[in-house]
Amino acid sequence: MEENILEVKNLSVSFFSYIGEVRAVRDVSFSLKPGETLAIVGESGCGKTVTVKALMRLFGNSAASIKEGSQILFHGQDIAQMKKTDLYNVRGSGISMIFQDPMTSLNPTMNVGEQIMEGIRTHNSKISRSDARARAIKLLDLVGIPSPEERIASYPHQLSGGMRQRVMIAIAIACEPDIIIADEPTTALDVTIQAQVLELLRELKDKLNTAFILVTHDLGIVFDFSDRIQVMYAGRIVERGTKYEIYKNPVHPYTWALLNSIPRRGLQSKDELYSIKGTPPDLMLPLECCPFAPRCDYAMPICKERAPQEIALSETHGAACWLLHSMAPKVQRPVHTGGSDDE
Amino acid sequence: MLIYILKRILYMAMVLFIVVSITFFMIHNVPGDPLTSSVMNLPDQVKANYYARYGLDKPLFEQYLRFWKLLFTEGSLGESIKYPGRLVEEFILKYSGISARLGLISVAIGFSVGIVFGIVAAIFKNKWPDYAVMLTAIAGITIPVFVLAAVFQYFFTVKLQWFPTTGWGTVRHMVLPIACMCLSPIATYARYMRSSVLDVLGQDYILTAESKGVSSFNVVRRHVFRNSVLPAITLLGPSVASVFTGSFVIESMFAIPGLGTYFIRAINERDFTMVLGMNLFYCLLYIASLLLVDILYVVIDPRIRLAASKDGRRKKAHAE
Repeated sequence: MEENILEVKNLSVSFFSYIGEVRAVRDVSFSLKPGETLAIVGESGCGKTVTVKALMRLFGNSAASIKEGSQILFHGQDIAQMKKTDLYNVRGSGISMIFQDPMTSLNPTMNVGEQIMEGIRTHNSKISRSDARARAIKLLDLVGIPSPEERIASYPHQLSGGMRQRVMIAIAIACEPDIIIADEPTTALDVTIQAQVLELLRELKDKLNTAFILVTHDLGIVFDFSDRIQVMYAGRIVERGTKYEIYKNPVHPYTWALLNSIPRRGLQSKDELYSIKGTPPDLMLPLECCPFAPRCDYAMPICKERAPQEIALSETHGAACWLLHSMAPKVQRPVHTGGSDDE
Repeated sequence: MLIYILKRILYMAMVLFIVVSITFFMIHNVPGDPLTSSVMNLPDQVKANYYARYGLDKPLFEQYLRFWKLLFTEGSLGESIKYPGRLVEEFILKYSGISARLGLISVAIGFSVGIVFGIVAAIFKNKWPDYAVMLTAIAGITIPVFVLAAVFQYFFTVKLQWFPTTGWGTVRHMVLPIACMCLSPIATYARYMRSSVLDVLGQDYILTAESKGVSSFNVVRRHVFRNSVLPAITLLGPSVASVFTGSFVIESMFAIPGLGTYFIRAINERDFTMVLGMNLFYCLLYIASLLLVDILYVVIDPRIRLAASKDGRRKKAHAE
């Protein structure tokens, strides 16, 4: 068994505001092997982005903090306890990130070449300016930007959204990090551009052999892209497994609901696309019960009293749901009519 | 870019023309003239001679035309009515140097110190450096410059005897007036810079920069500064003007022979040509500083540069 490059243990992240503590991530543990792709899926506001930002302690000027007892072991070093200067070394060269919105994620007053070179020169103080420039041109070429020698002097406003996301990807891969985090990399793009950017990411994944963490709420793109899937809800991981386990044999009602809400081929126009009723819970609440219980079609009395522990179904597959308890009634996963299941 | 600047200079000329015209008719419609302001009781014949000498007996519009004719044919703003033989343009050149030195130094100090204060306050938001800067800023905005000048004079010259009270000539004479004049710009720039830096710090591209492993100091230097300095640059134009108006007070309190004191005196004495000349001069300075600000914009923000050059390119294509 290969060594894990990343091991997250009991990660909790809270935002402190005037009205109280928002517990965005609650006791999350997971690991990542070299070259592996992990997808984190879930609705908006269930802690996916906060989880991955915590991996780089990248909270900007928000009032977020990683709570005591959390461990983020990257090559055995704990990022949660790291000194600022060591953290700067990990960011960019150890772990890098592709952000959601390419329209706002690039500095508007710096040309794209400078922005790519900045990371290269930060982590390699010996490299000359012209070498860094040559590398930046190579990177732009690699991410599929035509005539990179000219484009290197462009400013972000001169590029389209898809181009900017390619530049973002070039920035992320510039220092050949071990882990690339892609935080909803295609959400802000047009559907056709989405496909191109995903294709690019897949190519790069094969070429660079880096580990990927893909954060998305779009289960449709996850299957092609990832090796393992983690489903998050209300700051917790509710189900995890290989992509086959999650797609073929999901056990958590929330995963069922997510899978049922993917648009399918053959869905008739009169059929309504399934959607989960209600909204995720307020993360300021302590949530002693199962957080999904109020929206769950199979909720039992116990679900509203105590939170379920994660139960392992196989070496890779696990879920936190009372339905898996030996005393629970056996429930079949609902398959919705009106469309054929692609997977 | 060049076309843009030429266009702006043309607009400047138009604005100048309008301002000078309005000033001309206003100053001549104010009751009184150079003679009534002094208490001399002159015979009518002497008065008539006096008016005739400066053309004040002619219809107003003719005097107006005469002013422009003199400016364009001889490049002269005319002779002071109150001090015969003294040419207005020579007078301005002689005394504006002192005002300009005071004004420019205090704007330069105010701008740079204010910007540094603003950045520090934003980075240490809700910690003691922030409170210290904001306290200074509130003091700088609310304390009138004449109060400040009096307090400074009392402490630093009467009590401590570090600097001379009044006068002009050495560097020691400049310290107190400049200290008084730059406090208000420091306050204004610090407040603007603080809010604009806070805004930029919340932007996504700051996270991108941090995700590259760039240290906090370099993030501020390379990413925050340039994106947040624009609002402060916008203020630079008006603050050049306000420094000149502020200097009227400072110059009289510190007995500095700058243009400000003479401007007030010229108005009180109804020295028509002098008022008009100085007004033209101040107006020119103000408009020029606005143009300078616009050019600075273009230098700092590439998006603005493109807008200007696109305009130029379209014109070129049109000409071909």
